[in-house]
Amino acid sequence: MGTLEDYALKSMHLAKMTGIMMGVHAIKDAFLLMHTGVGCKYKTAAQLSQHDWATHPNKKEGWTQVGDRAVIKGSSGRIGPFARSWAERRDPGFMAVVSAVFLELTGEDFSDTVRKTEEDGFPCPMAFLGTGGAAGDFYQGYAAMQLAVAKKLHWKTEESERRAGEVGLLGHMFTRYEADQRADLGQMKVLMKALGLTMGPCIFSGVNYEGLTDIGKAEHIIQLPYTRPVKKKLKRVVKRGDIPELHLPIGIAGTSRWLRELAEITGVSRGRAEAYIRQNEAKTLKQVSKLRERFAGSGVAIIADTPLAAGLTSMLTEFGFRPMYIGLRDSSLGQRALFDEWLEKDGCKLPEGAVVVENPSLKTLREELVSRFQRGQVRGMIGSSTDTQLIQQTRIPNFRPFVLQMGFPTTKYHVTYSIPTYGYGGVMAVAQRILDQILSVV
Amino acid sequence: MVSVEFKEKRSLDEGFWQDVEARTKGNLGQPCCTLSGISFGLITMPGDFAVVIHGEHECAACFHHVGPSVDQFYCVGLNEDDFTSGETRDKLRDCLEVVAKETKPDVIFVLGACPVEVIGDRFETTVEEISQATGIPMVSLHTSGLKVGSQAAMLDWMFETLASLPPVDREKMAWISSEKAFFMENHVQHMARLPPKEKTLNLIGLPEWRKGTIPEWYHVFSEVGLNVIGNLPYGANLDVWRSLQHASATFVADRRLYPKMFNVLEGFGQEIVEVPLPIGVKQTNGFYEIIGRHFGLEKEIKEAVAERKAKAVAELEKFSGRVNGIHMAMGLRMLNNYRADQLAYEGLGDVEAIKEMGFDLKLLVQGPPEDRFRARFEETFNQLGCTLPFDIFPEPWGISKRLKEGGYEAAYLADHCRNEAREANVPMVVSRELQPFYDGVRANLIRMGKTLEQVLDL
Repeated sequence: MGTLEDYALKSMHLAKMTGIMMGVHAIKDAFLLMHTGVGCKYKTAAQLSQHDWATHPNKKEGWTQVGDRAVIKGSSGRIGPFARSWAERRDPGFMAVVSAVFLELTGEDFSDTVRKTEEDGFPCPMAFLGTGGAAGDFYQGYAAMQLAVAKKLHWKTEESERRAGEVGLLGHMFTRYEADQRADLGQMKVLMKALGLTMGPCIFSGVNYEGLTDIGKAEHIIQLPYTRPVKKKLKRVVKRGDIPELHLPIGIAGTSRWLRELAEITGVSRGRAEAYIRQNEAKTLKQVSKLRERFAGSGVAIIADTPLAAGLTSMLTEFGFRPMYIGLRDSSLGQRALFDEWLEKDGCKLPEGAVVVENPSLKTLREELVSRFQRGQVRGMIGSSTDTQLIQQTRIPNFRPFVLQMGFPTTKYHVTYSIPTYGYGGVMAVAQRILDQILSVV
Repeated sequence: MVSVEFKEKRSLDEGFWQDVEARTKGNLGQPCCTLSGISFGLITMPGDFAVVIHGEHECAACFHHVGPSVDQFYCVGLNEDDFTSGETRDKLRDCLEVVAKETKPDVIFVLGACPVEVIGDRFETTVEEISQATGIPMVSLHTSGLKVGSQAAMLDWMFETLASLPPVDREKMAWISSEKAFFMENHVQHMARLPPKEKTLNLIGLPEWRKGTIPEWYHVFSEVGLNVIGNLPYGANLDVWRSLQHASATFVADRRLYPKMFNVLEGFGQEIVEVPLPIGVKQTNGFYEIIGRHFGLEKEIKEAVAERKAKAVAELEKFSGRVNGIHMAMGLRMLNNYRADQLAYEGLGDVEAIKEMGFDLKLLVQGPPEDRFRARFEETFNQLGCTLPFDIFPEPWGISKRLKEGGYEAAYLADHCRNEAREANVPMVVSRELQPFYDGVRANLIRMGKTLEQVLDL
């Protein structure tokens, strides 16, 4: 017999298809053709349309209008005409075709149809992405889209063709065209520059498909954690041996560690990295001391995917907060084992009594968070808008927790200027965001 | 650069498109997935109920995970093996038993997903069995995106289902409880008595009132001794739906939308009366007049609204004089958000309110641009008494060009058109943002004025 938790809607119960669309959204001129049921249109656009105020996803997707009749008659014949029609109207740089489980059950070979459509003089690269088979989550969808794009790129380059000091990135989670995402990319550029490196193409980063095509010419290829579900397959595609993986550059220790590891991977001298780290650690610590002096010891809850949760836990500990409840809202990014490993590398220890849960349901989250707020164990929370709504909808007598939205989706936090989460700049920006939220409820 | 090969292939597609067009003839509404639509509705409805998605996890993502009942949703989590073997019963049974035992809700809604429909799973048998065994009412709905239907038909199905649930006893009936808790606390004297059925009504499909404030209709109806069970679907909880039969009449914006639900309500002996969407002065006048006439309270309601109405009229006159024929585009059929007030009167519910503000209005209708479809749209608009000029456009991303070419000075469009309107340098108000009733008129004028100040010169 299963448990209520097994069946309850999860904090991140978004579909593989939603993740695929996120990947498509993150390439400026990509297009998603949905060979799916009409309800699947909500999987791709419902959350994203409220998360991204800068670019609406409905401009980047089309539907093959499958209904019951098409299922009975065979539906694969719809893909070619719809793909060609959309290609003519939207002139995409890349077209992904996604199908739904119920259509894959019919046994039609959509992958072959897409391949033939592409071969028939299709004006841009095409890829088919299924959603059937093993259960997939949002992050698997995003990773699958990275793999699909990577397969179309030219990786086999001679050493002599490669651009010295350039770093190509895989596994970056780009969710919207607002200034917070640009700011994170900017922070990584700054960190690389400090080591004398330049940032090359980044999968994904909101650029056109064309802007990704010469990633193979980068001297170094590294990956951030959002390739984890396809890591082995990606290695075979990129053909440069093990692709070094870096964690997210979040927090003071996390950013410094990121710099050290990047320096080591790229052969930059340790001294150069350490000089920059010394200078910035001291400055950043001083800047966030106001927060630490006043609110040290406050309990906080963090609900985020594993890489983000690890970064935030480390950073909030540096601010003097006590992360008492941590929900890891993924099933494919490493979960508890990775979380513990990265915290240890940052030298961060969880406070006594802290609880870490994997893939929590919204039901559990509501109960756990409300209980901790009522007991005074936790003063505020960081999470996506799916998580924070649980608190905003619940009345807790004589108490108003501070709430900070981060992750996907964040529908009640939109950004008009550069506010990063990554890098030393991100430490100061997040400290300011938290301070604003605390002061708004005290 | 498009290749010759691609062009050849494209020309061979012509037969396919003719077939598609032939089958979509007469099918003018935005298509809708009933699993998605009903989930959207239930997740925003407070109450002691549970929803079980009978399908794969992927399909539990076809709706917003936002709303007071988000933690009352469960998913059976079927996989490909379950579908290919047809063995879905055990997992469904287990899920229902666990949910029933541990949460003991008043009712469980079981919603089917596309793969379940493809394999012809008659899951209602299992649901009925578990319902009998646990004593908890369970409702099976064969929802999916396979039988592509209209949003209105989906809402009608959902409303019919909710109105057909075992009713709450009159002594325990919910009324005016669709509002915020403070609303109840401040009116406890009303709660100590049961409202007489002949002076009690339901409101269906009106715009949502601003959260945290008391709606105008409550003040007006309280003053004349009328009681409202709820303004459904917005803010109505499960008990409100189960109390509908304790009213003598139901007032609805666009009665064509809900034939199935009205069968249920007429079975309770209720009269169904159509009202305009109460946006703007003229339509709000109509709303109160119809309800006053129905209850023989025309004079009383007229007096109760007099002050509000006078203020709204004065503000409107001042504003419309300044607008003086500004050319505005109003978008239609651009949204698939399952909102009853958006669907009412084919989306024309705001037309009168915008016209009375003094705008020179033209409709921009998203849809197939062929002539035969144009004739059908025209027929529908005429039936609703709308003779405004209109253009048809196939895709929202071309709208900036249309705005420029049409010489529009202002636009009233779906929220996803913001960038397009900005590109065309045309100030835009988001459709269905207008507030209802007389109290909403001032807010609407301020909203319009602020957004359009570059052309209004206010």
